[in-house]
Amino acid sequence: MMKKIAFTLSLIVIFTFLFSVISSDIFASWKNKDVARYYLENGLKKTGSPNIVSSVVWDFRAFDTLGEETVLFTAAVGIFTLMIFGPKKKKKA
Amino acid sequence: MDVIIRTVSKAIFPFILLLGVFIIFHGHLTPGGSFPGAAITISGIALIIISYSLKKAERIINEENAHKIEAIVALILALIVIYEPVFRNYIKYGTRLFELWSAQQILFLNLLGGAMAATALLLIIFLMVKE
Repeated sequence: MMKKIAFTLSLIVIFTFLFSVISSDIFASWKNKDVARYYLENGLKKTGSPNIVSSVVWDFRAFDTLGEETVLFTAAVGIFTLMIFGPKKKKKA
Repeated sequence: MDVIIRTVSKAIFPFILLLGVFIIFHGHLTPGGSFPGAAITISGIALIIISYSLKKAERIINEENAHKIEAIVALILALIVIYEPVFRNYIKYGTRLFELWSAQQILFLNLLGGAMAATALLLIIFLMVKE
């Protein structure tokens, strides 16, 4: 019983989120997206790189990319500690 | 592994590395960038591990050296991103479009980010092989 209730609740939550995302893409007009338009129009002038994606990732939103690299660095540090301090393998006979 | 697989993988290994480094270097001009280039570069080392052995790949780059490289690169990357308004005045070259030395700091950041992603993927592959 509890499982069914939890399942239906999670379905309702997921579908409301999905519908909100899709409807915001459909009903929002292009005029309201000032930041995206600014990046598209001024990305080449401000950064000098023809690749808009890399100009956004490494220039306008460089701090977000720094956080992303922090996640990668943390994963690598965890793996390195696993390799050094983890349980040692039994030698195969 | 088989002799044919060993020979072919040894022959195409430098070209895979070249493609990955090219994609990292041209991240501000062509589609791609640091992460796809790092993935391609490490796929070459994964090919060596599969066709030969782990020791052959560790002769190219050791895991401790990879970890040291990653730590140094992370420090430089954080410093450049935080002190970017200071560096912006000094890094000014090549305002012409579609040149390799054109975008102000994106080239350096692409290189450093590619090195970080490559070492992280390398450590993950080493752990998966050793377990």
